[in-house]
Amino acid sequence: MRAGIHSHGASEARVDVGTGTGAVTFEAAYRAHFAFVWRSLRRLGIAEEDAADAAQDVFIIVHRKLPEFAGRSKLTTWLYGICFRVASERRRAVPRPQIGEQEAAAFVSRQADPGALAERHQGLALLERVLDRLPDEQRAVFCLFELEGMTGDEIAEALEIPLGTAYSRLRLARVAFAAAVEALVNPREPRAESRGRTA
Amino acid sequence: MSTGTDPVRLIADPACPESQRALLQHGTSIEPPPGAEARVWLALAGAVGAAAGGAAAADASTKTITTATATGVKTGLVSMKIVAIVVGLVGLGALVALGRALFVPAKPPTMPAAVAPPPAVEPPTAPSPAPQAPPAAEAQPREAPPPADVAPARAAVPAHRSVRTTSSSSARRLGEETTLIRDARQALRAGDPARALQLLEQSRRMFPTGVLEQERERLAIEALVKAGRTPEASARASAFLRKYPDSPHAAEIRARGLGTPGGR
Repeated sequence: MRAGIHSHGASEARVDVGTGTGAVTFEAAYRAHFAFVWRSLRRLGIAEEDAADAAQDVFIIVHRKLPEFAGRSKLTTWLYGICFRVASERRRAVPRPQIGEQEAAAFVSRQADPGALAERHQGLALLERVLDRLPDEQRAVFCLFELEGMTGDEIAEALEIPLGTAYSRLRLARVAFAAAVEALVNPREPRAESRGRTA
Repeated sequence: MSTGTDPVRLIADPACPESQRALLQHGTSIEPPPGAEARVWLALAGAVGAAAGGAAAADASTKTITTATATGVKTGLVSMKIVAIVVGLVGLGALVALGRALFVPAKPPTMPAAVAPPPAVEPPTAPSPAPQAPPAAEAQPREAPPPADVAPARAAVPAHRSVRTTSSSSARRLGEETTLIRDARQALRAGDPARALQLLEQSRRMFPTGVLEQERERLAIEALVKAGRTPEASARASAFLRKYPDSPHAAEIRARGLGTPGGR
């Protein structure tokens, strides 16, 4: 995928499969949005090895509920709501081990140059660990906005929250994200966020 | 649209520290690995069947599917649309078959051609896995589409099976098979691989060549790994790869370093 943000412009999302009714077929939805569902789940903390299972869960629900999807919203925002619930459910059932302070420090110390993070093979793993420090609700808003490129309105719709709530979660998530990154880059410095949610 | 009030995204904000932007870059390029899409689709067949529960299938719809399938790969998309439309009446069997017969060729080019050969008879060693079953998250069955039937499913797999019409008893068996697989998957997810293996073994005994055989085996391999029974998992994986070298699950099994094509 290109290095930018995924577009959520007009070319995307609504999958009206030539039925004349605007109806979306299950297969069309699957084909068009499997990758979206996959990366959404991954960003919501589903491990690579569990993503197929989780994606399957999502599409089982899609299969069951697609008839109810009346095209009131973009298919992606509707799908994301399902992804969010599935991911939350799975994470509750099998919590991911939180990275410890020492482990994080060790991890970062191996990343010689923080500026070269992007070049590091473990970059994604590191991002996941940082995101793991955000509460699920903030994480979802943060990922949708910063990584998926959705607008505030779309996020509010996907998560069924008021726009103001979406913005406030984004603000909180940014603060937490910055603190978590800082903690990883400069492990010896005091971490404001370590008091809070860090396990 | 209040997009105008959205703040600048960090990744595009020069004021954002490079360490944050660099990290975020990693999150923008997440893509499913090759074959994942086809693999999940195949597994979905079982899951959707499970979700559908076990009602009698509709002959008419089933025939439609079978016919469409027989038309060939080039009509895959069309057939799948038909599937989607009548999926409420059809179900697992037809989906499995269509997934195998159509999805792969029509879809990910990275996939080995035909997905799965029809199930053979000799059962594998351990309990077998099937595709993941039911949705973990929202279990409240809505208007579950009745499952299809085994016969049309197999009929759709070219040449290996004859076309039969649906019978309520085969639909019931299919329902039982999917239920076992679903329960096994839930047990596995709940961290109880022993229980999962028990259920999968039961499934293997009852439906040695069931529609969900591949999925059953996949789950069994995973359960054995999680149970720490690596040698058994590896042996089972080898057997799977020998039997279904082109299955969408095969790539995943190989990727995990389990089994050797000729091994076991």
